[in-house]
Amino acid sequence: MNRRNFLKAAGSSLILPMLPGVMSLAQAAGVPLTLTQRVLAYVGLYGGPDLRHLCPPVITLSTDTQSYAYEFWKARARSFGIATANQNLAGFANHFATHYVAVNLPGTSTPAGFGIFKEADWLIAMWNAGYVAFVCNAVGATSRDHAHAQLVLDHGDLTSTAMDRLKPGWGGKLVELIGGTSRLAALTNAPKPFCFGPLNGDPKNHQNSRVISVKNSRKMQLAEFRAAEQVGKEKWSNNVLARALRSYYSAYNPSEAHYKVFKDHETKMRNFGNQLYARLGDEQTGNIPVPDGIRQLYTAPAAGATDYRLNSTYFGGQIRNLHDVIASADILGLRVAAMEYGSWDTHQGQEAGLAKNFSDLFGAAGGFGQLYANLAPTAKDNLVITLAGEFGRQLASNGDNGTDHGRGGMVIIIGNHVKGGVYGEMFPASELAPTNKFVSKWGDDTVGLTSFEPIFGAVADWVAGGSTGNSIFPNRSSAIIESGVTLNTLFV
Amino acid sequence: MKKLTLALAVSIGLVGCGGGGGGNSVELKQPTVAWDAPITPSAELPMVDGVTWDETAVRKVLHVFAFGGFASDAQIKTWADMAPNEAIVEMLTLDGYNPKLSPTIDADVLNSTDRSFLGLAGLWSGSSSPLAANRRDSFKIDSWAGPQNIAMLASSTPGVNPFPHRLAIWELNYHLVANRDADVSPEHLSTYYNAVQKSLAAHDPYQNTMAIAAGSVAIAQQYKHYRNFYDVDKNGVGTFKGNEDFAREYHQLFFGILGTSRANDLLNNYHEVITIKNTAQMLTDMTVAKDGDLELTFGTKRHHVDDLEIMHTQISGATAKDKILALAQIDIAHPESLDNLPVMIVSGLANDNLSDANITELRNYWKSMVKKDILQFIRAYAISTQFHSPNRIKYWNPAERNVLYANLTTLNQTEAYWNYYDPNGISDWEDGYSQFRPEHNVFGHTTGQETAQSGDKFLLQFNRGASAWRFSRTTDSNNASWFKNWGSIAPKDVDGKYPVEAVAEWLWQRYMADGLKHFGPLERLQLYAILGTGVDAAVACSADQANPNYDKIYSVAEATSDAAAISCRNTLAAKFMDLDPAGTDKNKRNTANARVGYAIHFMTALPYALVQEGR
Repeated sequence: MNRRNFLKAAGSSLILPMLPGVMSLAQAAGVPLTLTQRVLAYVGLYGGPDLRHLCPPVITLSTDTQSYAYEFWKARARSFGIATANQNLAGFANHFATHYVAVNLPGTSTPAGFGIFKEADWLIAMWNAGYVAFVCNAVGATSRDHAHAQLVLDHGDLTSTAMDRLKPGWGGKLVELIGGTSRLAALTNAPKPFCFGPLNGDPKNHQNSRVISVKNSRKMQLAEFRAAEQVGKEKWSNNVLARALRSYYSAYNPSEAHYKVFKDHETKMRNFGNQLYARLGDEQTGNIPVPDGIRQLYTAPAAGATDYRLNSTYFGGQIRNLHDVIASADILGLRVAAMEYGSWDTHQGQEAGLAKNFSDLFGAAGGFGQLYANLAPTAKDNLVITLAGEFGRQLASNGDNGTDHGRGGMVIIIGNHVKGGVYGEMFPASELAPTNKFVSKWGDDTVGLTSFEPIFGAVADWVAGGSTGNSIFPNRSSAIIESGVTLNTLFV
Repeated sequence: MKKLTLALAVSIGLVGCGGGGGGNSVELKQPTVAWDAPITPSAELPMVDGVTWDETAVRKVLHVFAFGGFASDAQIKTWADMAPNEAIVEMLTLDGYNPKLSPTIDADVLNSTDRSFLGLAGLWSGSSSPLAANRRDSFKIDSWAGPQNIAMLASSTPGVNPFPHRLAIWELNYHLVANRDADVSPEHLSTYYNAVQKSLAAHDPYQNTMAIAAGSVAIAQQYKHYRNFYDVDKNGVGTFKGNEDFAREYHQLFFGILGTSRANDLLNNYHEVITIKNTAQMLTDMTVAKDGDLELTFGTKRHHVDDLEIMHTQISGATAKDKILALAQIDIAHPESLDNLPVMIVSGLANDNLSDANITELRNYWKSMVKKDILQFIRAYAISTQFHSPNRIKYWNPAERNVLYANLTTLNQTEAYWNYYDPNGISDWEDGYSQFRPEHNVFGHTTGQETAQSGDKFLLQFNRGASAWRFSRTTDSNNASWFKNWGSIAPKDVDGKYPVEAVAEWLWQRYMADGLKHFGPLERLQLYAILGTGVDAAVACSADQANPNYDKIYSVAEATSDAAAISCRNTLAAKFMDLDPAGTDKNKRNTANARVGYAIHFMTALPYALVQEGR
């Protein structure tokens, strides 16, 4: 198996429309959305995702039992949920065949050596089209502490400590450097540190002038007195208070940052809330209704159905928000959209948990599959999706059908301008070294060979142009990078 | 700790049904209350001076640590007139009852319980409950939202000491987290809450409280280490089977130890490969023996009985419980814990803007405490110069602000029991903040900082401000004897009248606790208009009352200097409110009380209600 740099030039945007699965998705779209400027959709996979579970090595009945692949499956059998009696070559091969699709290197008939989780069918289509990059052995914090490592991930700064909760994030820095009217839309319950913008003269603090909270893109309007609609009700208490508050905030201009944050919210919500409503309207009856396929991601099952479409309706709501901010990109100055998907800390019962996560994120009926079904070619050409967690998981299963923390992880970058392939060793040979065997008592870990900085730096360069990433990640040029990996060709 | 002999032991001589659900007759006694001796000022954490320690300072402490509390204005003044180290031992106590902070006010059936979490649950869900019959089941400890309902009502009922609940709610949502969404049953969560609170009330060393938490069913359910075993085969070879999730988080989340800053923890990856791996083996054979058990069974058969090297120390103990307690004594003294734990506590409860100097003081004080007593620590912090510094910034999380506003609006138990201000429901259904279902799982719930950063959370609060019904309720057709009676506590002039200006200033101080620092011309103009006329300044101050300009915006300059605006403000300030509860015109009384409610709506949507400055 070739475990090194499966880089192939297969990023042609002409391939995707010719793929049957993707074609049907595109045809199913309602009103395709466009984008005229490049946009980053960042998804924090908080909890330490085991992305090796997404794309394990191919194993068949003919696989050599001395091979890496066999050792891998043997060590991980429990986390794949394979019963003890089936923890043998036949059992491993059967599990792989049942749950994974072996893929080729993009645009070729050369086996890639690994498979992708079957229910991640949108991701498989995108991989086959050459639009997916797996950057392996990515590392940020060397500690395996979630909170600290998440700060490092969101800041894109390996020097961040566990106490640096107020530092700016790399998303916030990115829109600040783009400048003009560019903004970051935080599509989550609350903006994550990734979103925080830099504060001049204080590297440990931030400001959010370019951040817009879009927790629910269809409910962003402040209470307001509209005279024409309220004739005869002008002195009703709700109208009185709406006017009093509007008047107050209009005049209010504090200098202290801890008060100014609320003044800024009021200004943005009043401004953008009304504009978005004018553009979008109600979910089902507005100018741009939420497409049915997306609405089903976060709403209760239809009559007669029992299961929600997604395991995480919270993520489904973020996909609605992403759809809507793309539809309103000109209003918002959208350049970065910040999202999150949790539930990756799979110390127990990994198989069932991750299957749901992968389906939510990567299934054709899942979040991004449904979003892409509603994007016009210009939107697909101008969008890059970056998914990353704070660290990975140890290679060997633990005794509870899960995996424990490991340093190295994987970053997934998806987009029509991404040069698809594997960057770095997907299955490092070093992990087979006798002193670090899966079964060893100590030293269970996954290696971290490529720092977040050059990876995210390449993404920032593409979104903003030039070498913007150098300003966001000042240590980029000296950061560690796996031997043989070249990230400046990540985009075509 | 030494107790002063100021015990209050008043039997009110009532006999009735016990509220514990069992219907036993018990004597209703006012609990005995004893106050601790004044705390000794510390050089490590300097105490605020007597000038700064005023009524505003007292209110700030109550807002942060007691969800506002229910102390009367007179009691607050009394505390302000005392030395801070004397006052604080009366303000912040961990017993179920604190008659100064949370006086009973009305006839009190709470005396039939010990006012512990489980005691309150028994009363409120039982046959003698003061709650409406259709609400009682939701206060059973095994009802789906039982723990949340109990904790929130305990935090917002006059007669119950809110501080122990403020602390326990923080512990279980931010520090020693057990998540209801992680298979932790309501019964186990309730038991856990009670155990933690009981340990805190007993003044256990803080590490022992954490050891109790670590040995709970709730935490075992959270991390699933109840499935961890250490088995020895016939050849004497031991094998660990389990996960190392809690093995890491016990050190990290409970004690603040990452194992990343000390050379001996980093050498050969010691923290990862020795401390965490061996802690995982320590957490073995701690099982839920049978369904319904509320305590773990600690066995020896499948436990790593031999000593384990953890944190460079041989940890001994026959069972996991013994070893957990032994390890707690080591962890609490670890340099990283000594550095991080006090910062975690203070940043979690009271300050989103800790400076390096603040942190140094906190660490030094914590280190100086021979016994890590969290009550002593919080008291010392609450009267410290850094707590009362203008640089301290505390953003309220959704539950903090909702309970705070509700408590400041609640005038008696009736209003709490009838759930007029519903801080629990607002937090849960509107803000999406459910107690014991933290946003970030074991890493904690939505923080104040996150709340402040969220435009959506602001939007909710703003729109609640403009939705005038909740705080302006004045009567209840289902509770005919009740009416809102702000006149019972609002300031009166010498003639017994309620001047708008005085009421406005009093309200501002009650809700904002800033000594009127931010009650400027703009704020006064709107608040006077609402209180004095029931409409906003644009209407109240319009020269053309028949056709006012509803879009009129008063600038700060105009509100400050414009003659017409000043004249209007002065006119409004001099008006009187019909708040007299003995007044003959009930409609006027109700209108006046409703206007107070509108004023509260207005104030709670302002920035000053969303964040507290230390001074």
